[in-house]
Amino acid sequence: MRRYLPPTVLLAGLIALWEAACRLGHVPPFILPAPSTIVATTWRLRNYLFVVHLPATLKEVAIAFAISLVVGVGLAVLMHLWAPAEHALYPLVVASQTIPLIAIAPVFLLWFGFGLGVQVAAAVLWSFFTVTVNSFDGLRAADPDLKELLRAMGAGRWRILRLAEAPAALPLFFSGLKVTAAFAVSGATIGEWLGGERGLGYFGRRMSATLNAPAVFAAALVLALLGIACFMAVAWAERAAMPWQRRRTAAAGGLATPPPPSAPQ
Amino acid sequence: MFRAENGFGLTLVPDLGNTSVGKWRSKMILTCGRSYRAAAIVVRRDGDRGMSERVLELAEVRFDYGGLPVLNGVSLDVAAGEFVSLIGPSGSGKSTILRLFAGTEQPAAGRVRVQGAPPRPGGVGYMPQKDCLMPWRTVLDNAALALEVQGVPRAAARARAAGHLADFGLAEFARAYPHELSGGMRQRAAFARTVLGGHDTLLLDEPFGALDALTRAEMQVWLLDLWQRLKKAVLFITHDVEEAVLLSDRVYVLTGRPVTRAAELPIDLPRPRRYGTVLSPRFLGYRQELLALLAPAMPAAAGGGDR
Repeated sequence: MRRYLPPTVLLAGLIALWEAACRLGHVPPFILPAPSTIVATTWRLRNYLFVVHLPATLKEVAIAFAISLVVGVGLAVLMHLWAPAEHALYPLVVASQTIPLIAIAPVFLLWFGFGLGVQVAAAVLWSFFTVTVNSFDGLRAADPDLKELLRAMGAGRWRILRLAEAPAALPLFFSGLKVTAAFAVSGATIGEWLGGERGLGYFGRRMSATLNAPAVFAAALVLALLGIACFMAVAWAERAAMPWQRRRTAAAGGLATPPPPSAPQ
Repeated sequence: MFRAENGFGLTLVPDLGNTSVGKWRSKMILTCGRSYRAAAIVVRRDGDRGMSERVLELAEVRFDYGGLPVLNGVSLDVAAGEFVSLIGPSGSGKSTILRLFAGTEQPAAGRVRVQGAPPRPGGVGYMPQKDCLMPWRTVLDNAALALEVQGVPRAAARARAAGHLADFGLAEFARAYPHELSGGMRQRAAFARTVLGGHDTLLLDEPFGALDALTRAEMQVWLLDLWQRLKKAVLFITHDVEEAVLLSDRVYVLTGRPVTRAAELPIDLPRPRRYGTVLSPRFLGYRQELLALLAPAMPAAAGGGDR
C-alpha cells in the first residue's frame, strides 16, 4: 500500500489546486469546470454515462483488445519463427504507428460504416503495436543456453517455443499488454469522436458541441477510469500468470520488483 | 540400438522409468500386439564386452570455430560406467567436445560416436555450465523437463520426478522456485533433471564451477556417492586439478591451440573415495603429474613451484 501513497498525495494536491483555482480565479465552468462540478455532473448524468454509453465503449474496447491480442501475438510468433516475415512485417508494424489516425479515419468510415467498425479499427490500429513489439522482443529474450539445453535434449522448434521462449516472453508481453489495454480505450474514444452513434467519446463530442464542458469532463473522467480499470485487469492477469514473480516479490520483503523494460513508444 | 529379435518378434525397449538403477527393463511386444513385462529376461546390449564397452568415442576429430581450428585430430573415449574428466584452460574446446557428443555441434572431420552410433540430440544426458533452471518452473517441474521433452505427458513426468527428488536431497523443495534455492541446491536440481532423463551416459560441463569452496567439496562427495549408486558413464569438465583427481577414473588433459591431442592420465585410487582422499600421498602424486601435463598451458607456473 505504501507505494500508492506518493501518487495519491500528488493527485490529491493537484485536484485541490485545480479546485482552488476555479473557485478563487472565477474561471467560467464552460472553460474549466472545477473537479467538484465534474463529479457532480458525472453523478447527475450517471444514467447516460454508465448505462447507455459506457457499455458501448466497453464493447468496442473488448473487441479491439481481443483483436490486438490475437493479431499482436500472432505477428510476433510469425516474425520470431520465420525471418522473412520479420524482415517484411516489422517495418510495416512500426510504420503503422506513424499513420495519423485522424487523417485515415474518413477512410475507415467508408470501409466500416458508422457501426462498431470505425471505433474498433481505430482502437486496434492505436493499440496493437505495443503488444506486437513487446511479444516479439520477449520471445527473443529467452536464455540461449536454455534453448541449447533443450536442443541437446532433443526438443524441436515448437517445443522450444512452448517450453522456453513463450514463458520467457511473459514479462515483456504483459507490460506491452497493459499499455495495449489502456490504448484500446483511447483508440476507441477517438473512433467514437470521428463517427459513432454511441459511446463515451460520442457523448463527449456531442456535449462539446453545446459547450457543456462539465459533461465533456465527466465523460473524460469515466474514460480515464475505464482505462485505469483495463490496465489493472491486465496487471491482475499478469500476477496470476506468473506466480514465480509474485513469490520473488514476497521474498524481497514486499517491495515491488524492478519494473520490466517499458513498452517501446 | 538395444534391439534383439527372436522368433516371436520380441522387441526390447528401454524403460525410462527405471533410472535410479540404470538398468534396462524389457518389455515384450508380441507380433499380435499384446504386450506385457518380462522382467526376468536378461538383456545384453549389442556389443557389450563388460567394462571395455566404449559409450563415448572421439576419433581424430577436427572442429573449427570462426575459421580457426579448436580441435585437430583429437581422440578420446569413455567406457560404460566410467568417470572421465576433461581438464584444460578456457577455450581449449572442452565444452565443444561435450556439444559434439550431445549432437548440437558437428565435427569438421573425424568420427564421433555415442554408444556406437552417430550422436543425436536427446541421446545422452547433458548438463551445461549454467544450471539453466527455468525460473518459472518449480524444482519438481524443472526436474521433470527432460522426461517432458522425451514426450512423457506432463503429469506422468512430474509423478516420476517426484519419486526421485529425495535421491537429490530436494524432497522438501519440490514446490520451491529456483531463485529460492542456494547455489548447491540449484546444481542438485540441475543434476536431477539430467539424471531423470534416463540416459546411461552423462555429460557434465563444469557443474561446480560457480560454487564456493565448501559447497563444492560437499557436492564433489555427493556426486561421487551418486555416481557409485547410478553406475552411469560420466564425462566431466573441470578447471580444478584436485577435483579431476578426486572424482575420475581417467583424466584427459587438453592443451594447446588447436588441441592436437588429449593426454591421458589414469587415476588408480581406491574407491569409494572420500574427501579425505585428497590428503593421501598418491593423490598428491597424481596431482603433480596432472599439473606437469598442464604446464604447457600455464607459462607462469612453468618456472617452478607447484601452482
